Parts: sequence; structure tokens; C-alpha cells
Amino acid sequence: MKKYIKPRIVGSSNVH
Amino acid sequence: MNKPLRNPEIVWRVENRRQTEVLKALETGEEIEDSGTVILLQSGMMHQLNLIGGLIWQQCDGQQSLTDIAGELAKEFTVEQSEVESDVAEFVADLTERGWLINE
Repeated sequence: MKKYIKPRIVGSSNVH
Repeated sequence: MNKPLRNPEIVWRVENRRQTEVLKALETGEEIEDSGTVILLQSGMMHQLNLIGGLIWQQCDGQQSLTDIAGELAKEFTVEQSEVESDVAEFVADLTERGWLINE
């Protein structure tokens, strides 16, 4: 079994 | 019927090598929760999802209910079904609000 981590958005950035 | 579907306008990919690395680390009990394994592109922005977020995203094909998605995760990770169900529901609601998922 693998350790569970909570789902989340870890980063957002401008493409340009 | 509450079977989330990815917005077809979003371009995305799985960072396979990183996903494999993170899965391996979690197997040894290491906690890697801020590493992005799935990348989404939408209107000039790039977003990254962590491993569980990415696995949920990959399962949002419009065929699986939230319970189905949570059940798949509970098989592989040490987590109670009730906890993962509420996490999946919250995460899907957030992404639906952002317009990344369509919840039918």
C-alpha cells in the first residue's frame, strides 16, 4: 500500500 | 449523474516519469504531496496537480462516479473510503467551479 496524500493543485503559472 | 468529465478544451498531459517516481516514494512511506504529476493548460495558464489530484483527473472520463474514483484510490493507498470520498468530492467540486471539469 502507498501513503495517501490529499489531492490538490500544486502550482499555477502564466505560460507566457 | 455526478460523473465528472474533463473539459475537452483543456490540454493536459501526465508527467509519466515523475508520476512513477512519486508512486515509488509513497510506497516507501515518504510523503510527497507538492510534486506536480499532471499538467493542465487553459487560456494561457499552466496548472499542476499533485499525484492524487492527477489520478483523480485521469479518472474523470464521464464514466465513473465519485464513489468509483474514490474506490480505486482506496485500493491502492492507505486511506479510509470515507476520507478519500470526501476528498474526491471536494477536489472535483473545486475543479468544476474552475470550469476544468464538467459534472453531469
